[in-house]
Amino acid sequence: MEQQHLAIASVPMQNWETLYDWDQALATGTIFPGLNKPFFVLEENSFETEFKPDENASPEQQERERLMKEISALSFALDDTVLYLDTHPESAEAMDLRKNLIEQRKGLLKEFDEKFYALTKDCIGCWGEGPMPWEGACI
Amino acid sequence: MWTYEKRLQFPVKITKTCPKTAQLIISQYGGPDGELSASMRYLSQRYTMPVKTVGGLLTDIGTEELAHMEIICAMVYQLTRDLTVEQAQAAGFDAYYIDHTKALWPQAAAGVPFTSLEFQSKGDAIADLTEDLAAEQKARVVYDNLLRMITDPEVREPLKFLRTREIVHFQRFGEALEKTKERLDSNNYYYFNPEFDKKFLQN
Repeated sequence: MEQQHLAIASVPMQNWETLYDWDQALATGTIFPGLNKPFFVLEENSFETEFKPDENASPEQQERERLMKEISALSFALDDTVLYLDTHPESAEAMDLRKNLIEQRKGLLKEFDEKFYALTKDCIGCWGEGPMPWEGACI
Repeated sequence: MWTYEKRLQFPVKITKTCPKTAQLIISQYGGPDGELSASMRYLSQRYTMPVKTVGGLLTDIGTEELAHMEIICAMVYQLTRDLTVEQAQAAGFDAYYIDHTKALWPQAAAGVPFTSLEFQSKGDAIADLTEDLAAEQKARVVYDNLLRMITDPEVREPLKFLRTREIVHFQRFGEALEKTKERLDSNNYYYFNPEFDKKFLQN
């Protein structure tokens, strides 16, 4: 960062660091340990309720939830990486990660589409199938 | 152009009806520091931003805020989907019920309707990005306050996630301000309006 000046806000540019794994990133709200600033009323353990498939659910729903959880974690890692790239377009680490995540996400969306239903308009499966996301039926 | 992806950014699965909690959380839908307000603020400000990457950041964060609005709405919906009239009365949710039954409508916790007066699009990059920094802080405080009052872990998990996002977005807007400052005169950042007097921008 350049020298500080009077009468204007300054925030240091973030440097790349070792990231959380994608499950922890989703549970925390960021892939960057440096941006995890919990509130004191929050419990020490950030995994209060891990996403576990409902054991009473059918094998099909359990598999659907497992895959959806993987898609959520990976997609969120991509969301956070893209915001980092918006302000760090020169970052080779973020660029490589983005490319990697996009490839993996494509594969998972295709698998979900083939096994269950379409999550995006690029998926072949029937758009109207599957529960609406706000129903909480498929986490 | 926008496309919809049929999933929540963070999963919401709430099994216990609680209209009182719904009434508090709805503020992050249509309240002064809510997600709708955040999204409209960034998506309105982006067109005239003098630095292209800052316009890109506002687009991406403005889009993510729409996904956050959906998370909040899913929470309110699941907290009230099995609501009875008796529960609505006991929890003070009856006034909302009269006007909206169990439907979603953007309002603050105290019932004030959503309004664009809650945000600004000022046409000056320093003013707008400084507003955006403050907006993220204000939203973070709302999540702090909600987390102090709400004990149900099924509700707390998404709130914790959303709270962290406010801090991440604050960092990104701070970086966007730094990127904007690079194009200004560091001896006097207020010599011209970077969105109106573009001829003075440095390369």
